[in-house]
Amino acid sequence: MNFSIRKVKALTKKEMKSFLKNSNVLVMCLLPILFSVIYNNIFSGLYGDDSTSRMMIFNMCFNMNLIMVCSFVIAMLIAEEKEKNTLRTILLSGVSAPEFLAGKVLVTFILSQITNVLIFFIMGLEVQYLGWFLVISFLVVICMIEIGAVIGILSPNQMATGVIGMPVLMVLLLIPAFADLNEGMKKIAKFTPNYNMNMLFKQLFETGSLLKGEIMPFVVILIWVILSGAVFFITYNKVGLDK
Amino acid sequence: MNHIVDMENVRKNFKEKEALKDLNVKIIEGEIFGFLGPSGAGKTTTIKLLTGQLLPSSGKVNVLGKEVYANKKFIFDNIGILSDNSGIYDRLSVWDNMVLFAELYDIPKENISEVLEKVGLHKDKKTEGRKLSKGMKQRLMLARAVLHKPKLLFLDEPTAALDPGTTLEIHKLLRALNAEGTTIFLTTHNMDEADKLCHRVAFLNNGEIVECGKPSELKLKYITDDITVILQDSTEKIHLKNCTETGEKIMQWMKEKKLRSIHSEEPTLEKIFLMLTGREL
Repeated sequence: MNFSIRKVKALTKKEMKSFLKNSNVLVMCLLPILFSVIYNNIFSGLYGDDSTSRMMIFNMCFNMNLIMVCSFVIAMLIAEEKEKNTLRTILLSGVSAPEFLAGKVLVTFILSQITNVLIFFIMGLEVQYLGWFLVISFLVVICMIEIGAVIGILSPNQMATGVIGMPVLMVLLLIPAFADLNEGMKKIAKFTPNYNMNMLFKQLFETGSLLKGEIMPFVVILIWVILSGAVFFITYNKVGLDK
Repeated sequence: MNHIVDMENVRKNFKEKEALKDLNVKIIEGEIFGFLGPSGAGKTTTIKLLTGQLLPSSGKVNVLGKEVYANKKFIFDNIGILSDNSGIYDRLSVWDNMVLFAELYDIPKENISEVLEKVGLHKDKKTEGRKLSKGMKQRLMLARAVLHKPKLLFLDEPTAALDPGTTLEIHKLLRALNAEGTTIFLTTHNMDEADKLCHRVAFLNNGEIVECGKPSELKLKYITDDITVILQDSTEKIHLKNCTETGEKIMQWMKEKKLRSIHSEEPTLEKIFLMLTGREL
């Protein structure tokens, strides 16, 4: 298998140049940040300034970032290349599919982690939690990027990413969001990566560390990372990047 | 003789459908080779086989002396491709589009200016892809395809849907590239384009080559004994057979100064294709 760091670097540079002119991606990245500013300044006053309401707002914005930036951005970037025939052009220039995908993953990862950190500071969370926050978010971001890449591989164009991806991503976004309102929902939510991530954040902000806490949320998230990776490889091998 | 493309007894099936039947193509280094046929004849399948996008069902496909599918990296480094479904990055400028490919091919950025100059896009280098006209986009794609100075250039319907002016510009560029030593494999259903550009052409019909040769030789091979005459007092064409009787008639018209024009009926490539296949393009 050919894999050239130089080619991945060139593709990542191209994505970065294109990013500021890509209104679709730009809006996706700005929405969670905008919402965190709005929620933090308007709604926190309504719910009071306790840590529970702050956690709720934080989880809402953070989950939005996971779905919109991590999953949808990579799906749209892959689908756009198919739609505009640039994927074929790139692959015929000697770029291998893993190099192409690595460029997309890298850009999506950088964008989502920047958004994550911005949300962290907008929500006024203390810097001492940043290390653990980055570890947890890293795992869930990887999982969401894998799911997004599967959607991108399956979608023939940008429009299709919504049709194919929305049901999967809404489940991952809404079930954890409504887990506290319904017992049945909570039982299902315990198997989702986002809910377990929320649990880990709760534990982190309450106790200041994750070393002595429950290990199950970590296990569930890791299983999701592995399973999503497996689904990605199966889809990639079966469908291929370019038919 | 160096064969830059060598296809021997190539077959390609898509499930039940036989797209290519026992195809044999040999292209000599330095020539412009036209692969002509109507839509669905197997032209794009042939290009896909030659560029490693498809595996043949049977037969040998060699490009630049190597088997294509097993040597994709070598092949991609030494060929350029321009097809009617190539794309450009429309949010990037002309220059940035070229920079990406210069970096992918690991060639100096100084080469970009030279190539853009050749295709007449240097002054538009800051223009975004989406703001280019169709002809300019095609020239940018051609510039990108030849940026790494490929030995072999594949062109799949390069002037489809372009206006005559832009088509002429593209033809001029292709002749210049060929003069510099680039071998060109051109697929088209435009016989006029093939006639003007190609050193040799092959007619493809239903996955088979039905004729191959130099356009001038093919025209002589399939020349008919028809003569067309237009007289002074008319615009109507008179079709005659090439025989003694016709000669006497023409002599008579010449003596009476009635003859306006006289042409032998040399068939066009399109007519030859029709003769051979009974199928129009």
